[in-house]
Amino acid sequence: MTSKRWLAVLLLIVFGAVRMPFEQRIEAGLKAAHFREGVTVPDDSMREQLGQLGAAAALGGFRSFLATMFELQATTAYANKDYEKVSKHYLLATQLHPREAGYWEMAGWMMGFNAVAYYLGEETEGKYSTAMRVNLARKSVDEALRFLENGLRYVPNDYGINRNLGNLLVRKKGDFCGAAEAFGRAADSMDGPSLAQRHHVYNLAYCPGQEEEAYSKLKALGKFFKGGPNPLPDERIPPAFLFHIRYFEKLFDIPAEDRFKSLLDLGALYEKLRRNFEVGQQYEKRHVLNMQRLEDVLGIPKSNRIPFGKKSLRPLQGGAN
Amino acid sequence: MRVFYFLLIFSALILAATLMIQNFTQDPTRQLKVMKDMSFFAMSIFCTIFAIVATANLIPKDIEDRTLYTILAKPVPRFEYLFGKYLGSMLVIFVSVTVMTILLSAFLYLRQEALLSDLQEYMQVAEQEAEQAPGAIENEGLDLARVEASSLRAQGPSWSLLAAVVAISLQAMVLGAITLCVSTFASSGLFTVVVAFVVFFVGYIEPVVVDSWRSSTEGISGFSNLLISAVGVVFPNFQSFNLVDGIVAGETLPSGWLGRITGLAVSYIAAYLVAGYLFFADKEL
Repeated sequence: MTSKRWLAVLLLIVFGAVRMPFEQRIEAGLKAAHFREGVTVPDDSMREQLGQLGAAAALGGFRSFLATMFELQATTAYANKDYEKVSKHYLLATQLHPREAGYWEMAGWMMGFNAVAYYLGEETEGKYSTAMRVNLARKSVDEALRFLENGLRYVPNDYGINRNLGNLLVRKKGDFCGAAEAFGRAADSMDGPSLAQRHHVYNLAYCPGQEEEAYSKLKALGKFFKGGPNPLPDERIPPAFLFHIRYFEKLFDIPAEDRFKSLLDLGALYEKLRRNFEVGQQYEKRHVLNMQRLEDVLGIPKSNRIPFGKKSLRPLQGGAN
Repeated sequence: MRVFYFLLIFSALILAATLMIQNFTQDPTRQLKVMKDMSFFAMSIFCTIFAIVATANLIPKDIEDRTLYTILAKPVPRFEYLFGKYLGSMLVIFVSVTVMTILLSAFLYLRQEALLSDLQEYMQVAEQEAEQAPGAIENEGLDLARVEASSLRAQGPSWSLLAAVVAISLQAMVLGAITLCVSTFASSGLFTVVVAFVVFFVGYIEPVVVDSWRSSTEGISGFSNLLISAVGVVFPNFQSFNLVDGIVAGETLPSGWLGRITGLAVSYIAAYLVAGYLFFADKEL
């Protein structure tokens, strides 16, 4: 080899040695800016599902594209009601692109609500035993929770993930404290008033030990309804807000002049709602608690109350069945 | 001419992605994300393949056509010949990427505007309904629409998209310089293409494997560390140009980082072109 060729080889080696520390600094900076989330050597199970070409593509700068392809496959699996595949494809999409909040949000929704509705619905009646259907639904809820909680590790302030987590915890787990936290985070991620804020307060109202905080937040909500340039007329005050605040006013023995001013008739509301409740039917825990709270506020004697029992709760309401 | 065909395919791909995705998801933000993913995928593939295949054949083709002898018989220094060939090839990539970026931005803008206008209509209806519903100053539909509108705006054409395009182009330019350098001593065009693809894949995969290896609990021995460093010295690190995934996910590139990455690319190009010239200077023609 001639001297010029040796010089070329030497040049490339020296350049390689000089550039490495600079590249390491760039890499560290990109990592700190979250540009490297999900860039990792795929583990055995992921490699098996991606295939050799997919694994190479994932490492070769096509993670986002591959994640999109897996989401499309998950959507096809959803159309075929194959929730095992839905979960598998969303798992890959979230692993490939963990900072994309939409994948976690959709995975949580698909497994927590769509899969549960499928397993507990008419379509699986006769196909599986009741115990098995409930078990499959419970597993789906746990999977959904895993998706949403893992998602929060990467995008903690995302509205969609927190909102879905709040809905899942209250509707499928009967966990009001957890739901209040999740809705609180969802509300914090938005500018100005949001329904998530109202959900946060309503769930906090059922969270043991948080009564004072719940009452103080309900008062703030009341100021929002009645204050400002366009105060709401009585008929537009949300009934749920009213029976919650009335409950705490009674609990804390608040003097009449300091109570929230509204002429809305909760008795009429109770009668209207009561007509819809049937003995033998199953309800979500939050609906049962709402009715019981209304009965507390109205002071309805025990003998006249709706006879809710453990069997009145739908499956997956916090282990009550 | 073939580049022109590819650009046609690229436009058709974006259009197909736009139409196809509407059947899969009603989520407007996801529709724009899929468009971007598919477009950047096509752009990356085109730039990588073009940078390797077109550059690898520059010198062999000139030798085969005997053009090289005609050029070098004139007072044209070999470096000028080499640099001119490189610039010509990169110009095609630059023009194609510019056209693709304009197409992508136009499609994205039009789709974004259409989706935002649908959302606006929905919000007006929701607001009217809210005025009649109890306590609906806040409303779930309005909450979702507000979140959707803000993420839709973030997914449209933006400067950060341009940063992704620049990163793809820089990567192609570095790959082109490496390919040209290899072609100066390679015995055939096919050999150059194969070597360039291997360098590209190793350059992409090696930093990730090393990073994961180094952060593993067992750690690595001194000899292995030396071996890894040697591989790092020989093979370029293409992960430094991998910004697309982060940008599509909405990450913000810290200010000044694109400049650093451009500086790195320029130093790669300079080093490999000079090395290529040194190989080419001694090549017997």
